Amino acid sequence: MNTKNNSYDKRFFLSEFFGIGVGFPVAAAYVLILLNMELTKVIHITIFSTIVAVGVELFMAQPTNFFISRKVRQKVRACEAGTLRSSADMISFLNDLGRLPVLHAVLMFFRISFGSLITVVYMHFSWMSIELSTCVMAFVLALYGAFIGGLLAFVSVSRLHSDIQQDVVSSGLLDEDVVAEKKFFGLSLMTKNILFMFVPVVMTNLSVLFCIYTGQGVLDSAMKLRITGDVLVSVITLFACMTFSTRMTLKPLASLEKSLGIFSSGHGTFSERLPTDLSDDFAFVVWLMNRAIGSFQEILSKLKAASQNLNNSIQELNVSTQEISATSNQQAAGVKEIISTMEDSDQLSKRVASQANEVAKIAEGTKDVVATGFVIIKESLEKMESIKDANELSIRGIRELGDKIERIWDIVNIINGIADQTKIIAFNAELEAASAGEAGKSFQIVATEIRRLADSTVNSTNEIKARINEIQKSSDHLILSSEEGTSKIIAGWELSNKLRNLFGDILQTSEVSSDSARQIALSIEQQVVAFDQILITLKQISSGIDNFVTSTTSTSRLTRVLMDMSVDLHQVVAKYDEKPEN
Amino acid sequence: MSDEPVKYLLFTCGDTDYAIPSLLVREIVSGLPVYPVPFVPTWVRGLLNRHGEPFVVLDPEVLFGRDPLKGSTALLLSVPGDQVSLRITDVCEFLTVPEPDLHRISAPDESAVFFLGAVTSSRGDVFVLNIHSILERLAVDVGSS
Repeated sequence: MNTKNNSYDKRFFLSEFFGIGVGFPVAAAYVLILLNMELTKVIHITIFSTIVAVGVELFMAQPTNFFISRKVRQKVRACEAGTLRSSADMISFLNDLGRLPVLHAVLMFFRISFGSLITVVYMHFSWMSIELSTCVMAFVLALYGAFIGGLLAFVSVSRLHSDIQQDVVSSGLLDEDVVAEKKFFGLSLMTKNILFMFVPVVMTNLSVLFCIYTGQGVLDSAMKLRITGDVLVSVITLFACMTFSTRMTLKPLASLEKSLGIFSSGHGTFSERLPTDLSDDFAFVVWLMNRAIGSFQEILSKLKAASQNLNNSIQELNVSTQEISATSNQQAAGVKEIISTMEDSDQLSKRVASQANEVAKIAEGTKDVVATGFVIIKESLEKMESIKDANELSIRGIRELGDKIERIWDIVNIINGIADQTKIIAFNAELEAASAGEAGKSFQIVATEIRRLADSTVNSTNEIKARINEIQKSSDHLILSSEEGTSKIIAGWELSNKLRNLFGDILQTSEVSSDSARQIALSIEQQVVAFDQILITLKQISSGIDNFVTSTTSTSRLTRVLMDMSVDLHQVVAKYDEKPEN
Repeated sequence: MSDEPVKYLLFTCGDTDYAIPSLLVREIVSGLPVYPVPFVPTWVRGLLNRHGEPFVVLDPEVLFGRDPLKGSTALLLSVPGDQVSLRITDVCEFLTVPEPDLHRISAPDESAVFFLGAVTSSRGDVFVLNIHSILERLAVDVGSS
């Protein structure tokens, strides 16, 4: 509320001086102009009336003003503090604000009247000894000043309260039904017209007549009668004009009031237009009102259509929002499932990466082992080569031995042949000895011995043969064994060679495997990093989707609110019949 | 039959031991080449030349239906009117036994005619060849061939 509580007291205080400061001089001037008095008396009366006015102001005005404005001042402070929050309080405050100017004006009238009375009494009972009738007339005339002072006091306080009343009305706390019933919190336009126009004119004219008929002016009876008639005609004419003027003002005002009542009632028809002939300001205002009604009708029509479209659109939006909300919920759930799966895959990838690193290490170790095995195989092969060579050497030696044995065998065969021949010779000798008879007996003995020697030789050679056979058999067996061993050695050498080649291949393969394992481990590590990035992105997407779900839910809620608002708007505009008048 | 000991020459033909009266043996030769002669029985191996004299070489193994003997040892026989030799494997020993110790043998086939009998030696019973039967057979076989 835009009130200045401290300035209110000051302005209320100053309004008193405005009323009395103008009322008293007007009363005094009016009296002194209409009454024929001497200048000294006029000056004296002026001074006295001023003193009386100051005294009345000081000793009567301030206390009474303080008293009558106490309630309003309290409520002004309460409004400032924000403690007046109910419609009843505001209505009461407006009533007080409306009554105070009237009360203040009435008190001003009485104070000025009282001061005038004192002055008049002084005029009669003082050294001036003015006639009682003159004093009475002076008092009567002074009442006009009092009236003017009251009017001025009313105006000043009304102006002071106008801002406060506007603030109270704009606060929105007033019960519209009470306002519609009471309509205003002050004097009606009619009352104001009467007070501000009719009464002053009547009073001034009556005052003149009064002065004339009390002999204050030198006029004959005819003149008095004409003046009286003139005054009467003036008064009647003024009354009629005022009535007519008021009616002309009030009638369109009543129409305006009716139209504005329809506006404010919240229902009704806008098909009717206020009749106007554009003959004066009020007629133009009525015409403007009709334009306003037409514009409002058009706006209402568009508003109805728009509210219907809005309602339809909001319903579609609501459905769409609900679908989007459901879909986004599903997407959020789906993304969360994907995140869960990706987290499992991430864990799996990390385990795979760890195992791939171990495999790479093992492959590296295998490669080293294979390389060592390759070296060992190579050494073994070299050893086998040397064994083969040694074996071949042994076989050659054995073969040479066999050849020598063959030569020995030949010699033994020769010896055996010699022994056989010797034996045959011995036999022949014995045969000759037998055929020689007695003479050959000595020779037979020799032959027998030779035969025995030959047999012995044969036996020895046979034995040698047997030994040689044994040696040969052993040699052959040895050769066979050696050759078998050689073949086995060769087979083993070939196997070792194959093994070396195989190991070479294995070494190459293990090197390739080790490199591949390292690359796989590296790729898997890169994949793990990529998985982590994907997981982070998915989590961001999930967060975004969650935010989207939240915003969609909020949008859905807002859509429902909009729907309610649209329905309310539609209900509001449906109250009005916007069909134009045909 | 007299009790005077008879000296036999024991020899082997393959795995079989034979004997022959040593008086019938002129010489034992070995290493002499044998020249085959056509149109003769298979048990006639051919001729050999000893001191410029041809000797018919007979193979008793073939005669007895066995495989021919290998080797080049032969007994040159002293048979009046014939110059024959027996292919043998090897000479073993001389065996002197009384004549009554020569006991007769019998065989289911005609081979018994080629043996005078058998004598007992340290090597067991040894068949004594009948050279005359062999020569008769030779004459028959050569005449018919």
